[in-house]
Amino acid sequence: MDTTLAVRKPGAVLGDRLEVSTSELSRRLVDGAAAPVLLVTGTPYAPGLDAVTGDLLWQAGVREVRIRETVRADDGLLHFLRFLREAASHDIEVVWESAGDLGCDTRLLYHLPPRAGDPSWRSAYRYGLCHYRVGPGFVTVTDQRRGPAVPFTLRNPQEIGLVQDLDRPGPSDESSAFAGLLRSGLIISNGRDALCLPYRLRRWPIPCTVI
Amino acid sequence: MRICLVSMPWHLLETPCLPIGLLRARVDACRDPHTVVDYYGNLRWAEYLLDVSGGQIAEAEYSYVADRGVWHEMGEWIFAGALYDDPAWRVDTYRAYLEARNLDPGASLRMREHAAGFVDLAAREILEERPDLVGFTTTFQQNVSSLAVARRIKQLRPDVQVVFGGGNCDGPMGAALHRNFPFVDHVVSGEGELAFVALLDALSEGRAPAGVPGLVTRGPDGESVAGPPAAMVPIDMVPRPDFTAWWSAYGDGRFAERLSPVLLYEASRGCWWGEKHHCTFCGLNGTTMKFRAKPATRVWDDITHLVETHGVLDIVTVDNILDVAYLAELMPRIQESGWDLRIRYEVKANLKPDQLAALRDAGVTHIQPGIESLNSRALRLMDKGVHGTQNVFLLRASDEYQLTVDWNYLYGFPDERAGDYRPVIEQIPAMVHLQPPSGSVRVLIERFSPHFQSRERGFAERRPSRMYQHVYDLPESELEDLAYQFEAPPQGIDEDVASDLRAAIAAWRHDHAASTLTWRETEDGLVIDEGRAGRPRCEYVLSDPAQARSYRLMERPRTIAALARELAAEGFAMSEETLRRWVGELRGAGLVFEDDDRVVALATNRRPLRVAEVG
Ligand code: B12
Ligand code: SF4
Repeated sequence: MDTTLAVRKPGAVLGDRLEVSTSELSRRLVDGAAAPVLLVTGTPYAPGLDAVTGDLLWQAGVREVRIRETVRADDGLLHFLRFLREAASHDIEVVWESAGDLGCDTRLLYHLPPRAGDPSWRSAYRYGLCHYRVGPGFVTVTDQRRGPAVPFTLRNPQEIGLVQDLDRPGPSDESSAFAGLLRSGLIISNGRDALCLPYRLRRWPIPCTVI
Repeated sequence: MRICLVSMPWHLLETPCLPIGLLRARVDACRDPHTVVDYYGNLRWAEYLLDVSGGQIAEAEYSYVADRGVWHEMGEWIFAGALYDDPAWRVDTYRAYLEARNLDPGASLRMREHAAGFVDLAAREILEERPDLVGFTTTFQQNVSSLAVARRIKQLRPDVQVVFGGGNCDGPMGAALHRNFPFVDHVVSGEGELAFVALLDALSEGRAPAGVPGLVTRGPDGESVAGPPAAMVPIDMVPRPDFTAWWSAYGDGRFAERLSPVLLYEASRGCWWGEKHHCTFCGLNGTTMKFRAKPATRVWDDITHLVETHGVLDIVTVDNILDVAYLAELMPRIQESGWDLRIRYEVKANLKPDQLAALRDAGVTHIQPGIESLNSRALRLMDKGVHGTQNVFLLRASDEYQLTVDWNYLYGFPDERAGDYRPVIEQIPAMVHLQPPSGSVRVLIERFSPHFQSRERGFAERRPSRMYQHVYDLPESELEDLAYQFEAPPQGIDEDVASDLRAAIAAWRHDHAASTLTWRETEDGLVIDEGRAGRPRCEYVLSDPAQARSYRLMERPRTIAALARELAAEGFAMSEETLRRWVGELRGAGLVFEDDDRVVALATNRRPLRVAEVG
């Protein structure tokens, strides 16, 4: 055996980056044909993106996703936010840009990977900033988007149902549970559809006591 | 009888009081029915401080005294003025002690001004419950506030029976407490499940409780009379703790909106390792080392009950050591629940990868593996039963399995040598990407530890720690029995080596957040990404399959000879000398850790998810 240790400049490995379109992304992840850095082309809310979960990205060893197309405040936005939330749930970096205003209070999104050129968002972002944990008959929510705060507990089955159902964009409704979650910023709505904003905490950071 | 169970400062604000939860449940085993109320003097004191200081003295100031002050009897000093009716009690001694050690007093000086007022208030609030008997639980810094309130209760209502119990009453400490503080009627020394019931039965039948095992009580002339030593409590007599009264006190109080609650749970008592090899510095388990564990099904039922009742997913277990059987019997059951628990557990450091995975999958996110050192010889002197490389393996694997590790680097063991530290100090810069110890300290001498029990072990000239001087008005001969912590002239390495170790660890803590070292398989072979502080970014490329395979085998600690054999078995025959040269090359780049002829890889298989502490 050769006993000398070869050393080279970083970033020279072939296959570290992979260009992939939104529509193919989930299939590539399932096939295990991914790379640490993904350059994603195509519209950022094509159905392909809807099938991507945080677990899938994580298991495929993805560290960073770069979205080529500019994100707009239109009907697809909730789908894109869902994707961001999934990436955030495993602390996977997402590089993305938006064209102008997102049409919502961006402070509600501070727990998601910050968009380019938004220093307040970048400095507020931290893993676990807004997440929930599931227990028997209750859900514990930690929401520090507006600053330090202690966790609170949801026990109302309708609220818990909404948190689960709106894991993907789904119809807004007239219930008081819906109105309550909307008021507290745990769901976001475009008038027709809505999405649950906190992610379920799947991976504990080190140290696990800081979030 | 009406019984009031009391938990005084400095019990933590966010946790229930486990002994009260257990004893309250045990009262059902008494012959006569009794009414039990709880009094959380710790919460009341913290609220009192908030009020009198206009919010200036809050939970952070309280925690400072509880967590940091515990090493210096800060909390005890705060209440000592009230115990001795002297606001100026040992103020100068305390200040001198802090100054000599360059310690920040926190809010302790301001807190002391309010202690006497609070003691009076607490005694009156307890008496409003019309108790026949008041039981104080005392561990850590709960002695003096409890004594002060007990004394005030006796002044106001001499007929109320006062009982003490808890970690501070174990062995001779309980007898010393009883002897020196005449307003304490009874002390339960050791486990309370049997003794407390026997005491209550005797009192409610009008019998003198003298002779109850584990109890110190008063004879006809007020003298101390000790019963025979307590029998060990069988584990099925340890009930499921009842935290309902704490939960309402906490919920109604002002800290529920400022802190997040953590449940406590005890699945086992004693230590299965210590039964065979008592770690030489360890004072855990006072008088009963015998390991006893609840069956996994009971633990599961208890945890389910507690989580469902309180809606809390954070649990700290107080076991000294994880029962290995739980890995197969309990952890999978917890995992199946699908609940997002966060559990802290003390474990033995020799866990294997599948065992770490079982813990993580069950929601054990935080472990205390008793690492203590990274050198095999020092670990042998402690009778720890692990190698230095096993400890480094555990640190690396904890990052891979996303487990938070609590540990401390201990030194100052008799017979240790500079040579047990220098090679570790030299290798620490290579380990900065792994979880650092919280610090490095000269080992303290704790009561019940082998270091304490036999003076031949090298700490012959020990005496009670200096910190007791600013608390108690007692001669050294009494402190000898009352104290838990002792000091002696330093043993083992000298200050030169010790300060180098501390400096290396301080640098480790400083550099950790910015450091990673990860490997991945690529088309070019095994590539290790250099991302440690203080080293230029680069990639090490192990393109020769024998190189790559050897590194993967070093993921588990191995001797060079064993490694050579395994490589040969896989078709990578090479001489031990070649292998040594290769390992030397890896060590030069800080990619492996070596100790006692064993080697272990340092690069992790993926970057850990870290969050920086805020503030
Ligand atoms: C879990 C634990 C911790 C946890 C605490 C978690 C928590 N939030 O409570 C952590 C890791 C934070 C911790 C830290 C420390 N700990 Co610690 N810890 C323990 C441990 C392992 C278990 C404690 C426990 O809950 N036991 C279970 C309960 C039910 O037992 P118990 O309180 O003794 O109660 C029984 C009897 O005493 C009696 N009883 C109790 N009260 C009463 C009252 C009455 C009226 C009656 C009749 C009977 C009675 O009945 C009960 C049931 O049998 C003990 C060792 C041990 N095996 O006990 C050390 C121990 C309590 N810790 C100790 C020490 C010194 C520390 C540290 C200073 C650092 C260190 N050396 O480890 C820090 C300080 C922490 C602080 N901020 O104050 C010493 C305490 C010495 C003393 N005299 O106070 C102990 C005894 C052993 C040791 N060497 O570590 N610790
Ligand atoms: S240090 Fe831990 S493993 Fe060692 S005897 Fe004490 S409790 Fe047991």
